[in-house]
Amino acid sequence: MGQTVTERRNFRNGLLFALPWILGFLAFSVYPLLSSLYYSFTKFNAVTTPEWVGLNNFKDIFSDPLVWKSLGNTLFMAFVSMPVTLATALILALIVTKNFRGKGLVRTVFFLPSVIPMVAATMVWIWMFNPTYGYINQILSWFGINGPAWLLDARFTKWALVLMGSWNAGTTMLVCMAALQEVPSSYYESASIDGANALRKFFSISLPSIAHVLVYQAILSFINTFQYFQQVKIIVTANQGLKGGSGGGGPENSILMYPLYLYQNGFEFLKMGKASAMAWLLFIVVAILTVVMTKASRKVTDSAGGE
Amino acid sequence: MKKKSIFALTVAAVMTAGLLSACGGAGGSTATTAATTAATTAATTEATTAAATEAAGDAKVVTYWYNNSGDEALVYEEAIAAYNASQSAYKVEGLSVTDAQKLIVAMSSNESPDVIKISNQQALQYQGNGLIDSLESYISAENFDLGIYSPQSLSANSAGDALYGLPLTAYTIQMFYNKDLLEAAGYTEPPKTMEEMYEMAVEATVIGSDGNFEVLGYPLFPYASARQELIYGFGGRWWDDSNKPTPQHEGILASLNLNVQYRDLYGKDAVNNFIGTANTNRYTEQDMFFQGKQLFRLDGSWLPTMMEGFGSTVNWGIALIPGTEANPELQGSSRFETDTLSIPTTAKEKDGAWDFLKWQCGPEGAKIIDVGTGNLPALKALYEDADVLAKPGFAEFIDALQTEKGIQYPIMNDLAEYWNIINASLDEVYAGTKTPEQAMEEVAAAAANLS
Repeated sequence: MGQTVTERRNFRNGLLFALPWILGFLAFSVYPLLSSLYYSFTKFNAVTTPEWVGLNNFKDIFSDPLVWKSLGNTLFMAFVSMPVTLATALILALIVTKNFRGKGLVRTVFFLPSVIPMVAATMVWIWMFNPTYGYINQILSWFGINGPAWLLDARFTKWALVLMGSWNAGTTMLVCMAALQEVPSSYYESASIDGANALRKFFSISLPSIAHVLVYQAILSFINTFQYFQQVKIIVTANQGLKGGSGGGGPENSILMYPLYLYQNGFEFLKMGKASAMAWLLFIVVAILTVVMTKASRKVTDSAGGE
Repeated sequence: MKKKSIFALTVAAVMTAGLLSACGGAGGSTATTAATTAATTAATTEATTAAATEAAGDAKVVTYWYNNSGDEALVYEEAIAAYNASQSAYKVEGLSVTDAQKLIVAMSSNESPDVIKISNQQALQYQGNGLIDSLESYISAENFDLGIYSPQSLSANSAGDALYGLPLTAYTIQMFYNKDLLEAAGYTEPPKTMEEMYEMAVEATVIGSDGNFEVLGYPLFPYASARQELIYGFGGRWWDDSNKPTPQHEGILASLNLNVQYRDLYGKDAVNNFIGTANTNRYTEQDMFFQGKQLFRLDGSWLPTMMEGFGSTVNWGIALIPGTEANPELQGSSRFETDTLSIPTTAKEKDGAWDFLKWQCGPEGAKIIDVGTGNLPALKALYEDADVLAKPGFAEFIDALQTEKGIQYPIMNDLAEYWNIINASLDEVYAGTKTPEQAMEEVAAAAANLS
């Protein structure tokens, strides 16, 4: 079936309207993507001419223990920090959807950390984690606990990041809050008549009703975790101090996240080829995990009766 | 359908073109890219130069990126203004760029600065990657006298027989000690050997009722000094004369074992707590040394100026880093670094860059920086300059510099990666998860493929 003149004109006009986006997409997404694919097969320091080395960079990353260490650290954040943050957000959302005096103020207080720039927030947290003067250890001391050197002891560094992450759950809290407000109040009223307690209402009504939102947030947070960079970069830089000091991945590389190691390879070790190969490995890992999570999420939402 | 096919083909063609330009763009290796780049560069340079000439008369613009910020950046701007006032051929435009990533990106594009200020470690790394020019052609063309610089500051910036940057300031570490704490521990003179230092450290250490240090005797903080000077004092070296990693050097193991011995006396948690706090408070009013909580501190020449600024009342002294009883001649061994001015290979105004380099690293320019930022001179003439010597602690540090015992960094492209491996392994030693011998064996294995 041939196209009519109007259809052809509409197609051309549509294309013209979309052209700025298409050009931007080609220049700022496709071109860098394909460039990095090419560089992943070269020895390249970002300035001089790349030299073709075939699969050497990929062999290098598979034999580099720090690549796996950094991937392990990142997966820890994905599978530990993400659920903790999500749970924190949900708890906060449950609190602020209740009717009580000063609700607006409480909402603001819970959301406030989300609008503080990450750099400033991380610097504050570094002080909070100070083993001698920091608030965290001072609070622990009220319970007779001698707090650790959070950012200097490899056993605690990642947990410090988990704590930092849960503090910053304001945006997710807002999404959960909106979802909770969408749940018809008649459900709760019926449940009350049937004698359900608050816990039962939560697990039988609230949670299934917002399961699709939680899954969506989980996938988003999961992908974001693979871009976890700013906080650890600031912490390791602060620990290194002036003119170098502790390791570039924190104590025993315990907070060497994958993006940080990728950055170090590209801009500190001047191994842009290896960094590009790492970026492609990351892309493949995230793609696989996202597909798995999406499929799993369908099952979750279907069994919860969600959308 | 046909339209869609045409569209798909067009997109594919554009993508292929993008890929091809990516292949040549960075290195400028293809003729097409070279021609395009040349045309673009010519047009851009012409436009930029025209605008600059209009702004600064006939002066050609030289762009200069320095890695300082805040008050220090003002000192660099002061030096630039003095240079611009001293001649009319060039106009230097300075920019504070503390992010190495931005520098690399600029050098890989058409936005490279003409002069960069970097550390000599970076200079050696950059020359190995072909990012900065050798200065030999300029030096020989003008018969430039390099004898004005200290020999170690020249070798710190040389690879092979070529010099890759002029030293602007020198940097070394020596030992600060708290005279009152030392006297309280029963000593009147600072240690000359590591064995003496350890003995004094144990005597002076004070542990509080909560198990934490009130006074740290042995200089385990800052880490960077424990990693270098404490090891150099034992004769340890992280690399040999042929630039090969030597992490199992007996001096390294001796030093690390003494560190571990001290940690074991008081517990690693107490040490970690002290270092964690000291890290956060470093160079602030609450700095552990400024507060009288450290007996020894291996640090740089800027420390006394900082203490003065913060009103610290600590009664301090400076002495050379100790040697050992077996090798007393090792006393004073310390890293030697410089801040260096280099010309990127991608710079456009290279003659102007060299002219500025000479001035900035010469007596007039270097003095502005040394005095203004509290750094040690690389120029021998400034060793006796009254204004330089007036800075607190500088006389002692200049004495140390003149011993020429600076430990030079190796010519290794992968030096940054090697430091990373070393640091991570030292963390394991300090955490008690590995012995120094085990950790250094692993470093040797991990560093085997570094070049």
